[in-house]
Amino acid sequence: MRIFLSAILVILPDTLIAATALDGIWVLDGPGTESEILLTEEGERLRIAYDLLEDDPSLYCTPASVARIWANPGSRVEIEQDEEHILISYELFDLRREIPFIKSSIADFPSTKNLEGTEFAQMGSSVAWYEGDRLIIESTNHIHGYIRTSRGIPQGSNTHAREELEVDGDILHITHTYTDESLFEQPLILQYSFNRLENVEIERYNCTDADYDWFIELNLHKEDQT
Amino acid sequence: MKKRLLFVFTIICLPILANAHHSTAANFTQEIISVKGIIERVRSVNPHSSILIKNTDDEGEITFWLIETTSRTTLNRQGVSLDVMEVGSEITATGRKGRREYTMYLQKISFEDGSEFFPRQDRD
Repeated sequence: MRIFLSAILVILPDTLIAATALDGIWVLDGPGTESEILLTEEGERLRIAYDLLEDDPSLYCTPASVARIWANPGSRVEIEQDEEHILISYELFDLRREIPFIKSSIADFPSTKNLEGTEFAQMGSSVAWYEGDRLIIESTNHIHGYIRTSRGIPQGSNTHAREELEVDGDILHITHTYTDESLFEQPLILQYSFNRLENVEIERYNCTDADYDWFIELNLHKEDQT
Repeated sequence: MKKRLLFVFTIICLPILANAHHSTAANFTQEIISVKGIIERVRSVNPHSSILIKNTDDEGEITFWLIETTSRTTLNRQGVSLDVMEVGSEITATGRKGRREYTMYLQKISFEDGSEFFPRQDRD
């Protein structure tokens, strides 16, 4: 019996190649860059009112924004995809961000929750699609938070965010554009890069709230002496 | 005219290097200080591990200092353990002075026997 073997040339579409390249575990490479931040009067009001030592959501194991979660040194991020979703697992705060590949509409519930099931609207509601080999994620329905927690750069309910993810070899490049006419005079554009990690896993973070009250009480006797 | 407009547009779009956008870096000043004290408590947690020390000055006045460092996860990946910090032992902690009073971001621990402990810093 003759067995005819035929070689079948499979031409993978660019999107499938891109999807394969994006999957994996990544870690931030450096602080990245940001465009000039020009705040409106309302944005400046929120920035001035911000107290770094009290208002940073990170103190309470809460994501301040998507940008803050991406840009955390040393924390691993895992990207996985199937036909219907992209799942981004952030080691920081044990966050899981499930984003559907639906371009037509954005759900009204948050895309991100932690492993305990707590939802975080600070990270908005998102949808994703591919443009060529770039993954695009659009997000709305944010609640008040901070794009930059070191400086109190705010986000709010009118904030729209667009993330563009593109892989170049073992480097993941992300361009993150925030627009919000109530807070910014011009779009805020952040860019960062990530290195691919091999043979590692995402670890359970088990965040502990930063409670300084007990520590402040230890030195209260010093205030009594002044 | 077109060339001049193009030049202006380019200037506006030049990216600015993100400077200390990480809030950990912003919680601590650039001032380097050293504090000697007795270890009272050690916590290895995420996002920030810490060592509580009790400093007694020459006049007998006691001040508690909270020496903060990187996350438990990062320390584990560095192969570093805070188990070397024994409660009751005397150390000298050196690091960046915190904006919160009597806090410090750890750069180095010096033990009485002359040995030293260096956690790797979180990248800003």
